[in-house]
Amino acid sequence: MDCTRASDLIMAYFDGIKSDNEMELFQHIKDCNICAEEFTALEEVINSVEQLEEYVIPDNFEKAILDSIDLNKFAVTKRGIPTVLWVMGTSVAIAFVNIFIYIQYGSVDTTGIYRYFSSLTQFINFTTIVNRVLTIGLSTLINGLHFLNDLPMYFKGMIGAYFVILLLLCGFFVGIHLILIRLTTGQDV
Amino acid sequence: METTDQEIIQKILQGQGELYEEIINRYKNGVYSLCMRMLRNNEDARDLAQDAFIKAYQNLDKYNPEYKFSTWIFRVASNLCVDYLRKTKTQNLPYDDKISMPHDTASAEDMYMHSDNKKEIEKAIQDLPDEYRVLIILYHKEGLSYEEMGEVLKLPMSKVKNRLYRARNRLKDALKDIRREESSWTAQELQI
Repeated sequence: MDCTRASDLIMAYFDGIKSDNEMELFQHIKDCNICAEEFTALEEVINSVEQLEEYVIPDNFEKAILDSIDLNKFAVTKRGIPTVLWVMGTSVAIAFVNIFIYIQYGSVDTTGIYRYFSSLTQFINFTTIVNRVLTIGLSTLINGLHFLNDLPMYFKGMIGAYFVILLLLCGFFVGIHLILIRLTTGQDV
Repeated sequence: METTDQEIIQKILQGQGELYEEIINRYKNGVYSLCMRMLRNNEDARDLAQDAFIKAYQNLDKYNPEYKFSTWIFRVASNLCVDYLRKTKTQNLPYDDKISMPHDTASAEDMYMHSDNKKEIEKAIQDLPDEYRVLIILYHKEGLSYEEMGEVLKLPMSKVKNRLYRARNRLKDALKDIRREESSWTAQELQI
């Protein structure tokens, strides 16, 4: 066994790892003064570290911590109707409203688009601008809702905020739908 | 049968916040000891140890119960210590000025101090670079495994192992240097 290998095994020994080469290692340590010195020095150092005394905890250590935290932080609050039910209910309601609109007034007459736009490209450009405005508006809305702290309990947390956004968005598109029907078919909706 | 850390934390997250005191009592010694050995200052160590528990509580809902809580709290504490040392740019200050002041008279009390192995090992630990010191303390004093240290320090296990080996060698060499310095100082003083 050479000293490099012995050095690795010495470290493994102090890791508490049982090795098949342990006998060979101790034989090498007997024969090699350098490795013997390294082993003894490491043994002393590690034993000294392990036997270091614990420090005395200052008085009122725990009290200072407990006074700094809100012990009710994770207290369970009275829940209203779960938000997911609000989302599902709103989506179903919006769907029924749109089905009612379709039955009552029909759908958007796409040929009616050309009353207001000279070409399909112009219409597409218009909708692109509207999409961009809508995206910026929604981003601003989401950032604003993030700082709302006192939402009613059934709008609990960010899921509740998304629900509010969803409601506004659905209401917006229903409104657009009605306007487009009015513009393209001439119906008074 | 003692309640496990995970069981206590589960109850805290269900609203029994007062049980956090039990968690503090279980780990205050180890955390304070780590901070004290890293910072070498009572007040700073106390403040950072308390900050570690406060930070752990604030983020208790993010704690992953698959890992031991001890690993988690030690990670918080060691990160706070390392950040603090970086900000204050604290270099390894001598643990005890008397040891490095050969001009003092060799009183019996000094002789006792200089031959005190505990002081020497404390100084040798203090002289280690921060990243080595934390490994020595966590492994040999707090009893963490390689895997746990890897989680605490966010390092792969192989790197933890290599660094610990280097830390041990540096500690061994540092202790040798301290003793050599003391021997020559003591010999000088005794000749006066």
